[in-house]
Amino acid sequence: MADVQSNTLAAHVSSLLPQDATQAERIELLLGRCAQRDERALQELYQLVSGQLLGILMRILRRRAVAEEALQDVMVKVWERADQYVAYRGRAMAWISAIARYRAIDLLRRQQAVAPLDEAPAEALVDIEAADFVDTTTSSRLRKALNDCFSRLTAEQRRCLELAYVDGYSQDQIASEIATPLGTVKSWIRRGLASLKRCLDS
Amino acid sequence: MNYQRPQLLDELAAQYVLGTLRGPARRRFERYCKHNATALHAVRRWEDRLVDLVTTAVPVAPSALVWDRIKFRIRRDRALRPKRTLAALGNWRVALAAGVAAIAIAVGVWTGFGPRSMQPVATVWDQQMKEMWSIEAPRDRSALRVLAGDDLGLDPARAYELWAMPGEGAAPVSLGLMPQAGRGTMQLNDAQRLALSRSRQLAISLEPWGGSPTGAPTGRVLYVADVAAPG
Repeated sequence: MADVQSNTLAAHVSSLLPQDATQAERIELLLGRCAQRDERALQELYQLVSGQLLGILMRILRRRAVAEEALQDVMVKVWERADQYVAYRGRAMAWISAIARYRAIDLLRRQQAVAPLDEAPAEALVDIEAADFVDTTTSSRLRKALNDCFSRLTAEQRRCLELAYVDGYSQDQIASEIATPLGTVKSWIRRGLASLKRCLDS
Repeated sequence: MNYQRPQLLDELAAQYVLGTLRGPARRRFERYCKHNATALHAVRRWEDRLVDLVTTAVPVAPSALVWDRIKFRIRRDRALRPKRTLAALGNWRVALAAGVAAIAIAVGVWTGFGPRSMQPVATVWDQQMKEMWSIEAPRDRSALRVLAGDDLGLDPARAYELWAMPGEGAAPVSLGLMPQAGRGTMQLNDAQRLALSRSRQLAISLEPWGGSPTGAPTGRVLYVADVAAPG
């Protein structure tokens, strides 16, 4: 059922856009139409990005019901702010993912402890289109640069940055997760960020 | 926290984007970014640097109800208010749930302000960059709405009086007394509006209970804030 829906939608989207448009360009065009209050564009955008966004939200919020509620908030906000996207031109996914992550972090304030995941990500229903989308939303050059620079960090720095960024852990939670003093965790994070910046900006 | 040091600002931006800046410090930095292009730029640079890390999150298909709820919410919002009301609030980064928007509209009507017309006038910070008050006004600036920050630690036996500073040798003009908690409204007369329109800065002085007895500041000036250009 999901496959039929997404295939139909993919066909519909491609009928509206140039054949060679990248996923990032598609998202940008759809955002432009959202700014014009085109509800259909929001629906198409939702079909393109919702799987990826829910993946991000689930990792941080752990519970599907909370993450789906957050996904609603994110899409409503994207709709309301589509006309402000101009400041982010060329970085559609950075913009939308930032909205999602900040919303998740805001919601984390209300749920103190790290809850167990509702469902293991590996067992989660994977949206094939969303998985493809991951590979096409950002330029491979940038992604490769991040991978290269990330791999140069120490294993501890990588682990801390991932727990913070992908799983939404606070520094306290990271310290407890990896059984390391908080001061050490803070220093790993600070140095990891500084090294990443140096490497990516060089 | 001293946001003036570029390196510290960049570290805060990094920790903000990473998500490890939490609690009041996070909210304070968020508010600071609203008024500071350098901070906002630093945040965007970090968003760019880190965005691809989220690709390690496995995509998850949402249940069908989610889209229905989104559709319902945007249609309800459109029916509730004119186009782009929320964008006009300019409150970047605040994921404003529709329910909150509805409450804001109700409060706005009740106090005589439509949220659509409210614009920031100034934000008052203390020396540690703690946000003390945010001041907004309708487009015609016929009144000011002032929202006090949390736990300001003010002296309840004294008054904190807001002054327009028209400059060029003109005397400060009192606009009203700042609320020590919660929110307050100052209705402005023509003279006050004129003084405000000519002011590039506002000042807050420490006064006896009830405000300055002379019509001019009598105590020391505690805070000075820049006035935003009318939108």
